[in-house]
Amino acid sequence: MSVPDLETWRARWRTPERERLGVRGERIGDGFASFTVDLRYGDERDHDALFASAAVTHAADIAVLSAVMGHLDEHVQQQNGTASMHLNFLRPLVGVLTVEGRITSWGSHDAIVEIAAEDERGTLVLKGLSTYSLRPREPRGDA
Amino acid sequence: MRSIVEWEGTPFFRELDLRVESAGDGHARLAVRREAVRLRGARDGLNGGIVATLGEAAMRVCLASMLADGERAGRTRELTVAYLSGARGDVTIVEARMLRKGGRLAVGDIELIDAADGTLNAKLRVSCEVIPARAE
Repeated sequence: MSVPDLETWRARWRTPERERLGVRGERIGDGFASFTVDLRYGDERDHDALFASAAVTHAADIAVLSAVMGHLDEHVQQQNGTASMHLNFLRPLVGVLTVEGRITSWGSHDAIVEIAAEDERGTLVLKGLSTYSLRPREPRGDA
Repeated sequence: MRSIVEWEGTPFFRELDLRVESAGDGHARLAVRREAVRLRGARDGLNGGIVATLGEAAMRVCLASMLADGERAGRTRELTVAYLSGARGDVTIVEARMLRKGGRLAVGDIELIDAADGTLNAKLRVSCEVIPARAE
């Protein structure tokens, strides 16, 4: 496994589209990653539940991807995309949330990643589970 | 019931230039152009989180078409998505149909389909809260 350098990893996710959503990389480690989602837009986006949902769901998806990145041995396996995701929205999505992905199981062809989002008081607002697809690294042929 | 123009004028719909092609009687059909969605995922398909929210959007339009007088749509409670193939078509269709609308909860079935060749990109099930009309 190789946990990416924190600032390099944060920079990867720093794009205008994610700034619009209020999504920023927070932490990454072996098998886990977290993003903050600031839903205090201060304009009409504050009143659009779908905008908040897009921000949090996007953060959940890339938290899953990053958790996998932080555990993957690139000599053995490679990423193959999210296969499925299940989310339970427990409370309204408001304020500043922390969305975390944490690997619970790792296999030869998939990883199971638990998702959780909490508000600033540590109250759970979202809980979920994702299956992320993996592929064996194909051996490189000799030149 | 919110009109198509009203839906398309909301921030999320405008952000992705999301269009409502049809809505009514427990059915909704939306369309999104790939070039309008800059957040990408595996092999440059639409990002998985955005795919999930597109499904949620279609469900909300679908639910709105079935609300009785005084009823309102509440929060999304649950969302399940299976990613079957990358959404890489120039246009992706998001089609929702209501499975059951109860007095407190509505459950819908949603598919994301490549407009060009009909490839099924994702399958979703979304549950939304229904807020009953206030008793007189």
